[in-house]
Amino acid sequence: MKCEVCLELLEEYLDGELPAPDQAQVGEHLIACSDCSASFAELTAEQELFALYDAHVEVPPFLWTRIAAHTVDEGNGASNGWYRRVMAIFASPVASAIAVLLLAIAVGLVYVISRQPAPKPTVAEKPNNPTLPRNGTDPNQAGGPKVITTPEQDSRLEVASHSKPKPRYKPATNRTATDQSDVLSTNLGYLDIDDLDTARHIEQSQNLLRSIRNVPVSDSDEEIDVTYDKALSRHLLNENVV
Amino acid sequence: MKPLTVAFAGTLMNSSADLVTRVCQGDSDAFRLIFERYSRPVISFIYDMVNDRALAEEITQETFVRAYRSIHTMRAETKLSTWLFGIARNVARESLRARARANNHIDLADKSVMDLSDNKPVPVDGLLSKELNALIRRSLAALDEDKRLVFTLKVLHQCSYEEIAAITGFSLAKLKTDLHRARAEMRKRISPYAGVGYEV
Repeated sequence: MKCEVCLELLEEYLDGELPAPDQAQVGEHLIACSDCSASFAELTAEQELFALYDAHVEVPPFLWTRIAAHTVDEGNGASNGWYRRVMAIFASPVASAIAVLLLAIAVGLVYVISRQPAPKPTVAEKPNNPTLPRNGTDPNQAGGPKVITTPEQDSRLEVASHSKPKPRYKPATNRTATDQSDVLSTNLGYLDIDDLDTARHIEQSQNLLRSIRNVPVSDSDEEIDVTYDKALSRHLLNENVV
Repeated sequence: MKPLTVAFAGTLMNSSADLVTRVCQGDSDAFRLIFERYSRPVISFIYDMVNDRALAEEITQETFVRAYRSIHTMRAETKLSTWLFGIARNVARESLRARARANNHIDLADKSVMDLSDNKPVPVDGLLSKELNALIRRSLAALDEDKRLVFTLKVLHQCSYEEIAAITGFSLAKLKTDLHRARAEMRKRISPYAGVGYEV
């Protein structure tokens, strides 16, 4: 290798940026050539001098506070962090594919459920029953628990129930989730009961129990006033005995 | 004392790539770690470029704010330091140009730099602290922007040619030429103090 070529490559040799064959050739030349070797020594000394250079720039402590105010603090306060997290999740192609699959399954389930026919009611509704509705909630309790039915009301109920043609009682075969028919008797238990009054009383008693069970439990230590429920229960039981 | 496996896992989780992933997932502590790791080289690089401490702090702040906002666009194969230096270089460049437009430009052709290039022998030992630093700083400021950029990245921050090309966007040929000329100019300015005077 000629000295001119060597001197041309000297800086790249110092920087370690030469291809391996050139690096080896320059190295061999430097061993053999004292002039080029002296030039390389000066270049190395200069490099060492620059290595001593220290800008003496310290990072001021307030710099992070300023940066954080415009970056991480901003992201924590708003939806930025949430958005970044969501974007990070969808950045992965596998995660994106799984998300799309789950979304498709969810849409399919919603579609299948919405296509299923609603179950037909099997028990005749009694919307005019003023004592206890079929859904098990007592309207009297909504306004306050202390409501007592008068004998006149009861007699009117009796008249109303007897004035209509009495259909044969068909017990429900498809109960709702709040059904608690096992409390008094099973459906099969009164299939053969022909006495409509007895069946009606049983149903009223079940409704009563439902209403009691559906009363929300209070967190406080206040006792639930059940005087009305007890009175009604006693009344219904008496009717049953008669 | 922590078990070895735990310590090793902690080290892995704090690699630059892991920190970037964690920042993308909203981990603010990871961004703080990135700042602690890279703020010093970044602010030094910017200071070498602008030669103004207050401005260097402003540019460093802007660099990390921009980095945080665009970190999710960073490609996996990119080195975090290279990426940060690239942002810092762009912000510094914008800032210097804005300053020049406002007629508050930094006087890069400082006459005092050339005044130092006399032939008086000065012992190196006496310069190794403040004077040498001041001389190099002034000499750097006297370089034109591109030469100062490649010289700072190569000689002061030991970046590879590949990294410099990535940071600056310069071709390999241009950065080699600029680096060679920058070295020659710097040599000329510091030679009386360093005792070097060869011609390459």
